[in-house]
Amino acid sequence: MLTPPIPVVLPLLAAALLAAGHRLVPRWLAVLLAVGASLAVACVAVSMLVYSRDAGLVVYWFGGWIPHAGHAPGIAFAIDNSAAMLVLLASVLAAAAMSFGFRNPESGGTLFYVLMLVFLAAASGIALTGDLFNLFLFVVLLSASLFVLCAASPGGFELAVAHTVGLVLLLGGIALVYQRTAALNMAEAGRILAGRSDPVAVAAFALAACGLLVETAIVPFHLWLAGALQEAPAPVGGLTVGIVIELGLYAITRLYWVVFSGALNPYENGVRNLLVTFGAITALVGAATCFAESHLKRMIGFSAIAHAGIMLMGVALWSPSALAGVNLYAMAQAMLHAALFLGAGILLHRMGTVDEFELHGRARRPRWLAILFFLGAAGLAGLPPFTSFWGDVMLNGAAIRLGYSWIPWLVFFAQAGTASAIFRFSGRAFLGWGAAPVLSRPHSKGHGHAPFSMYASASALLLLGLLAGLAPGLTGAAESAALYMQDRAGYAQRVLDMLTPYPPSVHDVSATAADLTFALAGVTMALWFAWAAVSHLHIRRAVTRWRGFDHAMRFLRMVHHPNVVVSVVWLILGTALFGVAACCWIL
Amino acid sequence: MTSLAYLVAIWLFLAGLYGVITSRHLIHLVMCLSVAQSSTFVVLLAGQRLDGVGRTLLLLDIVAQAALTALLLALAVAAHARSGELDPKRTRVVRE
Repeated sequence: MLTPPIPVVLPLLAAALLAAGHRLVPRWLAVLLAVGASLAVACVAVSMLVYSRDAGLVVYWFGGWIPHAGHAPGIAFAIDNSAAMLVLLASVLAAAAMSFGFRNPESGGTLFYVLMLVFLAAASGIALTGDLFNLFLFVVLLSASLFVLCAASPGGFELAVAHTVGLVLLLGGIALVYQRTAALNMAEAGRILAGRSDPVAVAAFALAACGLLVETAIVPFHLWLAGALQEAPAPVGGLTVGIVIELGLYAITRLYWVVFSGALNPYENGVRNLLVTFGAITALVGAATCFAESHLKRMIGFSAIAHAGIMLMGVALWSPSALAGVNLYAMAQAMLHAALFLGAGILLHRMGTVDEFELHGRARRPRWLAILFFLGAAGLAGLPPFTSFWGDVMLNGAAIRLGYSWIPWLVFFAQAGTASAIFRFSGRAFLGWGAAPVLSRPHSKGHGHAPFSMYASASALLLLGLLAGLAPGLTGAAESAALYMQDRAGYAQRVLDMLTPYPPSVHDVSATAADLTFALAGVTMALWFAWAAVSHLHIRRAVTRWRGFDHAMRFLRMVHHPNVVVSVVWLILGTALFGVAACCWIL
Repeated sequence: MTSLAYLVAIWLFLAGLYGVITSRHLIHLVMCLSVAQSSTFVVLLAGQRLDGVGRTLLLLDIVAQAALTALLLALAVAAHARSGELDPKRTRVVRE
């Protein structure tokens, strides 16, 4: 079987070909080759999904270096359902993002497609690899391609510095694991670490997690995201909000369950509380800043940050049904955020601006764009019966069973906050809600209309993100993927001993009337928030007259227009906080 | 002996980050960042694991970090071209 390396090798090969011939190859051929390569990766991912659903975990050893007596000398790709799903998500997003600018030469020349293909290869590598150092190199490759893709933004340099510091932390963690275990295979390192309670393992986890939290854009590691997105081309921004956050979260989950869960077992509660706190703060700060923002691209960035916080809480509950909820939730919100960002790209192309006040009532046609934004925001708020609703149901159920009954409420308000910001933007821009603002500058000019390929790729992502939730047996499949992900001993047996334990038995979750009411209340509240913020001026005045609110908003805005220094300082503070908490677990 | 190496690594990392925070020049900032990056070389050298695999890791790490430094320098040039500034606190200002 030779398919496992294809998601990494094929995009890299296509990228090399395009880079070599970028002066000779006409632009349409480059786009065709790039989109074709990512669609081929998507097909391979579907086949891996089907295959790994039956087999549980498919292991591929490069060069036939199979493990001997529990020691792995070679490098493995270990493919389970979650990994295959992530590759599928990355390749679909990449295909949509690259076909977005098909008819629009402004969105980049041949070298732009080279970078996008390298990005896709790195994303697939992170999802598939079963080797620690390999993981680090793929994260480096992902970050490097992201640096160049975002280089045109004013925040590009901050992004690069923050990610470089994050990479140093990640490698520090991996090097410590290697010092302790002399193993680079994740399963082998996990098996050696599991036997003892070792403070070095705690330090290694803290370092690696902090490094990956930079990718995941968790407060206070998140300051690179909004600045980088502000001026990023739509395809780049769509990929960044869609997949970078998921990859960071996936790597943390994989490392925790395969490598560290045995060694960290005595401290499980401490790790859970710390990460849930980080997630909760991220969800609240992200939602508040999203609501305070009037620049659409930044708004979508902060919404992605808030949802990253929600997903981190779900991952950190360390329970299979919470992780299953996160699986579904991640899929939905990645597609919806990417679709909204591509929608922002369409608006920018047509009108020359994405500012809420400047666009007031000027974007009434075509109707489909308005529908796209309203549907996307409703999807973010968890409208039943779409995908994010099922994620919410599983996540909230698990949180209540574990005694975290405040998590559903926090998720409720964070989702309503982000959705209402996008509802408010859409209401103002597409329907002309509220009074017309007085502008000091003349209207900026765009192209007036956008090509069909832009609408097609944004709509395809939106519909996929929403309608995936209607697939039968989805919650059961997500739960079995989560059970495989969290089974450290089973993973090691499959990778190192080539055994095949029994598959877990799972069943579908059904939504109760209470879940439906809760979700519908969330969407209604988001709509009401948006409407009140635009038109009930007395409410707004009453809130803004309260001085504490004003100060808090000003502080949030000030922090979120950082320079390099501020973003590195917050990053160090976050790492120090994590380190102090880790010391508290040991002592 | 090993703990001394770890202390050196922590020292390099913190000194590099201190330089990043206090730097007034983009190129200087990138150099400070590469000091912080070199702490990972010391961590990889620290243990008694400097067999073939350990050496390979060290080489790969040096290559990756050098590539990142080169990219960061290119980005510093781009930031300078965009804003006309080399002070990291002012590169966000877009030149009109």
